[in-house]
Amino acid sequence: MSAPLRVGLALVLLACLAVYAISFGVATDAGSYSLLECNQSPALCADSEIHVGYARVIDVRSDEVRLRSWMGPVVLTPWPSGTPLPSPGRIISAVGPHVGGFRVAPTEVVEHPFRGLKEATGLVMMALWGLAGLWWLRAGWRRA
Amino acid sequence: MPDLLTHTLANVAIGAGALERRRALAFVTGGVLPDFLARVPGLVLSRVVQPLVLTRGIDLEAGIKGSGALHLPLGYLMACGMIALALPSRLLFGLPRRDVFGLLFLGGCVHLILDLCQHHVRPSYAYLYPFSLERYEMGLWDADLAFVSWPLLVPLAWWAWRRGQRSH
Repeated sequence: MSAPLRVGLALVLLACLAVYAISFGVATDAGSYSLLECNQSPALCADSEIHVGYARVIDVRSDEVRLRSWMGPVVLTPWPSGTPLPSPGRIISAVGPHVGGFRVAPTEVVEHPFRGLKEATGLVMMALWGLAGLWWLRAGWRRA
Repeated sequence: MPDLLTHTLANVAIGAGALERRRALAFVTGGVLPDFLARVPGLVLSRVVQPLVLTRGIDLEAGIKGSGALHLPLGYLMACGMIALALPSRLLFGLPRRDVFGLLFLGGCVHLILDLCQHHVRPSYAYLYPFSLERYEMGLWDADLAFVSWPLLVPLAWWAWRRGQRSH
């Protein structure tokens, strides 16, 4: 295969990939509402289930748990009866209906006690793979 | 996703014993590539960029979700094809482009199969997109508990790597 044809095909694939990623992002975004969208237009989320994934607990009160998530501050209230309250600093996921503002009434809550280990391992492995990538680039350039 | 160490060890254990060293490296790289292409940009967007622009009411959700397309079979297949075609030959270390493409894709398939087996609060990946937006997970193990496999995977990966070095 000639170099111009190869580069041309790579560019075609890049364009297809961009279309695929954009369409996937738009389709999945349209199929669900984030807490930010619910806060701006509460009517949108009247019957929606909100999923708050891997958010850190910053404050715990008698019947509500405050979280910091990528969607901003989130308040889980009322806390489901029978579910033990998490400690501040813990990572949890929750699902439940939107109840106004940045509030969600959780129906299901899962604590992730080993999330920190997973993230620390991920950072170390990213650093190691980054070093391996640098070695690969350097060795490849030296071959020329 | 299981963590990157688990993905690396699993692909070494599966591929390093049977493949020549350069091919094994491409296969193992394929085992982590879906996360580097999809999850890392998604995490940067959601954890770094989104909080910065949140006060202006800007919602990057479509972009964050769109980055996950490279963690789906069809998106990853296209990404592997693009990488194999676009890399300069000096970075292929003598491997044919079709081998680079195939090994990256097969390595990534191991990654996607491991991810398919895990359990989240709600299933994470719409593996059949664009044919379906339905999300699937088999729920065999908790997404954060992959580290319990390390005592098995570390010796297995070590054995496979040594075996591969002796036979090639």
